[in-house]
Amino acid sequence: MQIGNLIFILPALCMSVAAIIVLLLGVVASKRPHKGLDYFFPAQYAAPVFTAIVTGIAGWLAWTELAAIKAGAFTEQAVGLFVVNGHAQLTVDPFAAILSFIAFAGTLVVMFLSQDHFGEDMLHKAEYYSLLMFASVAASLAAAASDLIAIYLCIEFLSLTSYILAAFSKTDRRSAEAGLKYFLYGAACSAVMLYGMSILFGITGGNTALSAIAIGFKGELANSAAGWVAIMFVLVGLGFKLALVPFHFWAPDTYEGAPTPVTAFLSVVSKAAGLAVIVRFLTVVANPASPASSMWYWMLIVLTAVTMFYGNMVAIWQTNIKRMLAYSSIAQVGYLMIGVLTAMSSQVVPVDSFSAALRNNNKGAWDLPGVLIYMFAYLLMNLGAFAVVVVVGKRLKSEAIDSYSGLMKCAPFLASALAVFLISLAGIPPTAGFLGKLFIFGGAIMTGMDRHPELIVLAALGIINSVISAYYYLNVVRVMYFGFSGEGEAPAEPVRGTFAMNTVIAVMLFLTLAMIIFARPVSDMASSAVYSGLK
Amino acid sequence: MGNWVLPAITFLPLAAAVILMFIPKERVGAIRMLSIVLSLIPLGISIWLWAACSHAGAQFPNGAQFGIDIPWIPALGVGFTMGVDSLSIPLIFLTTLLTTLCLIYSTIIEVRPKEYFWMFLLLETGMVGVFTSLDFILFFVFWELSLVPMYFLIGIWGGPRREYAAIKFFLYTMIGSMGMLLAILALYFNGGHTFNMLALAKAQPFASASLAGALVFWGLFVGFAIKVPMWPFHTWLPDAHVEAPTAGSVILAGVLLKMGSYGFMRVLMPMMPQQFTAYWKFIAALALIAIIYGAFVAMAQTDLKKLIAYSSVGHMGFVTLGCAMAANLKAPEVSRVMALNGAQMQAFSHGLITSALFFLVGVVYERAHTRDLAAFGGLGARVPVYAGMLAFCSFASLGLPGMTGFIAELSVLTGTYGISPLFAGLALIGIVVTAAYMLWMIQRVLFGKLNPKYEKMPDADAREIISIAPLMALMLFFGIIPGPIMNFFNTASKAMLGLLK
Repeated sequence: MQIGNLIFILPALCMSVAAIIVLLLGVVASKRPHKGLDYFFPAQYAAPVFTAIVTGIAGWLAWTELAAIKAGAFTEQAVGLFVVNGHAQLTVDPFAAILSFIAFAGTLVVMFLSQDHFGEDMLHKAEYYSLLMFASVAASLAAAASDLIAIYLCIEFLSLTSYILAAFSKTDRRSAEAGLKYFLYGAACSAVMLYGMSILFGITGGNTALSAIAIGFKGELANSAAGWVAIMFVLVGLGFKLALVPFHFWAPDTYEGAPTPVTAFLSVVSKAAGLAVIVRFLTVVANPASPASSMWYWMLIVLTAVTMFYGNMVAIWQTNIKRMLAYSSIAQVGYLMIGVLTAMSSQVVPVDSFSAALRNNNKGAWDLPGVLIYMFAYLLMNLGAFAVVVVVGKRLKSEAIDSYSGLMKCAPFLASALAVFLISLAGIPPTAGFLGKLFIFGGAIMTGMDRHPELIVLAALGIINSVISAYYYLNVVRVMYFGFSGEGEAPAEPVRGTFAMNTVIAVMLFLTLAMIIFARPVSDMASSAVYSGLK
Repeated sequence: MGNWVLPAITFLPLAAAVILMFIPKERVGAIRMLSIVLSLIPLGISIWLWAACSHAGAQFPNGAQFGIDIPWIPALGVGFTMGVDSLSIPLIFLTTLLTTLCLIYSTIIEVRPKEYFWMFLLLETGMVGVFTSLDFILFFVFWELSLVPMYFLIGIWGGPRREYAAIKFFLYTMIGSMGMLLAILALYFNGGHTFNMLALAKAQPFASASLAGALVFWGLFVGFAIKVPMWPFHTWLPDAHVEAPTAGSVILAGVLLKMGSYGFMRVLMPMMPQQFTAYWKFIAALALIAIIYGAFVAMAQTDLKKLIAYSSVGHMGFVTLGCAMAANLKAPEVSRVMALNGAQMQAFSHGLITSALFFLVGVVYERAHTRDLAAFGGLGARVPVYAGMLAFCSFASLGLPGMTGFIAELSVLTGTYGISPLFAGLALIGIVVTAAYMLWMIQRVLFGKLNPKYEKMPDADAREIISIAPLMALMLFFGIIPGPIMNFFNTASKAMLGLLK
């Protein structure tokens, strides 16, 4: 292995060091509270500064990598790390680099949310912020993991930190419940996933690298019951991370009980990591070009459809806005999965690596660029919505949708921002959510007209679901805007966010609206990230 | 690169809305003044477009005038493409004119005026954008953009059941537009990977009959038919119209419904002529049902606003009837041109007449706080100016010669008669019933015994006259001298019929 390759995981390395520094700061500070080090470098300011720097590095890395690949400077080996028998454990291709940037950027926003939510004097704040940083490291590495061991370690690392974060409000019983529920489901699912991985390891002749497994998987093996079970079990673990129906049971309770910034983290960053892994796993190991995989493929098609309908149908009845966003994010993953399945079904021949899968793909395909774009749009709109929920929830001491009544009067900026984020989540133009859905549904139709008509059905179902979701998203808008006539009844006191929060919300608002104007650079970057022709 | 006049007319209202955000909401006078004055600029540009466009110049799909075409999302083949022709210019004029008149009329809005004017200007951008864009994604973005402000306008400033009406309007239209989006994507992938409407109209991706072609056609058709609205997709209309504030109803009737019929003529007929000509009888039957059903239901209404709303269903039926008739390939060319001219004229004239009627309903509602026809009577003597305007517009609506409604319906009927006398005869029922309920409405409102409650009702004031009189003038002008506007329609019809083969 070349030391020089470590530059590809530089953001993760920097973040780990920073997280340790923040943790040490906390240890020192706990000896003499409110004095000394903590006075000068309190965790709630140090952590975002570090994260901002790391996000910058991650962005720069993705950018330079894209440029270098366009110039033909890189091969797949060059971006692989910890190579064993010619198979890399981490492959930091542009797809991974961009998702890792999304993970860090999401974490940065979550930190601002945490600052506002917990305030200055939270207990164990250094531990909280360093846990967040470690979790983002795990998410960033998961995006690049191309080996079963690496996948398992990253997913497990991410899960363990998330369990603690979900239970962080120690005095709140709901938070403890959230953490415990998440932990119990997570432990069971990860055990099942590990079992599946061990079967894969066994039947493909002792390989852990995805590409090696794919080679071993080409023949009769894929048809065997063992292979079938192994893939199924791995998908259980990944489905849990993504909260796909029927592995979603933890999601609503955990989302409602966990502190709101943690909920935001779970619904965006943690899902980005799960998504990256499932894309790699499905396109390389389980792509339907091998005949036996068609079974999983059909199962996933059904699960995706059920996930969308379930998330939206249940979200309609929610009265708590966090719970509503939780169910809606289940449905959102369903839309993303349409893109993933399209990418999966575009494979016509078995491949032995992710970049080979991409090379086989139609260069003009929309699916994986769509997944990246939608993920980024989802980061903006979902974190934006959560940011408003944090600010409003803290000021009004309530998360009930009814308490948002007349918000337009006492917080015009926050209410307008939330309205735009929700409209974007519903996928109505001219917002970022529309652009993402255009790519994903368009991609599904393109591949569907070619040879997979079921994808057209899936896109149609996705569109029906967008209409259903518009109902409950707009319900919040209705409560905020229509509930009052201009006089009286609404709470008279203005609700104001801090300067930092308002800035964060304003930036996300701008990006949500501007993404469609800058659709050209965004889509160019996304498609060259995916189809840049890494050799 | 290209001509910047169309982006200017499209985005100026948006710029005005942004400027409005910086005015404190207490300064209501400044907000009103500024939005009215700024809305005059797009109006001016649209009049200039009217004068400057050439009938000999390029017509869709062979090109467009004042065109602009910049790559926008090259990865998807989406361009920022705009252009106008004889089909869209009258509608752009109608949009900008009605927006200005609505803003003038809406100066009485007391509740949250800043948001109101903001929404209205945003709405104008959406509406003008639909008529100027020649790229499907751009078209779709504007199409949906016009939906959102209307949702707020109904929901915040509407009547007692406004929340229900707002969400019903939104979801109904969204279902239609989502099906449309799927159909657009299918057109894209079959039509050489472009969203450019000119290119798609030339390519005609589903030229041979196929199941996919039929599905795509009906996807688009339902999207537009909901907007028109055609029977049986019209059920959102009475709710939305009745609950919307006056200016909202005016824009709904005057412009948003036209977006549906514009879709028929700009998208369905040029891009899927094979399907359109194959299904013309079915479409014509739906249109006939709308004409007759709309007229009879309107007759049964006791709510003045609902009556006008249902009259819209009937009147818009003539637009779709004209389109369907023009698609009959066996018919003589003259009749088809006549029917299509009439359809466009009816769309334009309905925009003038029904808008004016909705204004007039608003005027009386603000004074009486009821729209119940049984409560009125004898207002003719009490408020003569108002009575004159109401009678004038009602006559225009029932198709009195000398006004635009007559020209429009006459053209559609003459064209239809040349193609199928049976259909023309059936449509005539609608006209007769329309005359009946309009006259009956005038009788119930203006004549008879005066309700003592309304003895002190003031007559129409200057603001109201200013917002209604221009519409009346245009009804009369184009009713007597239809030449200038018929030129537009004739050019557009010939271009369209060139494609319907």
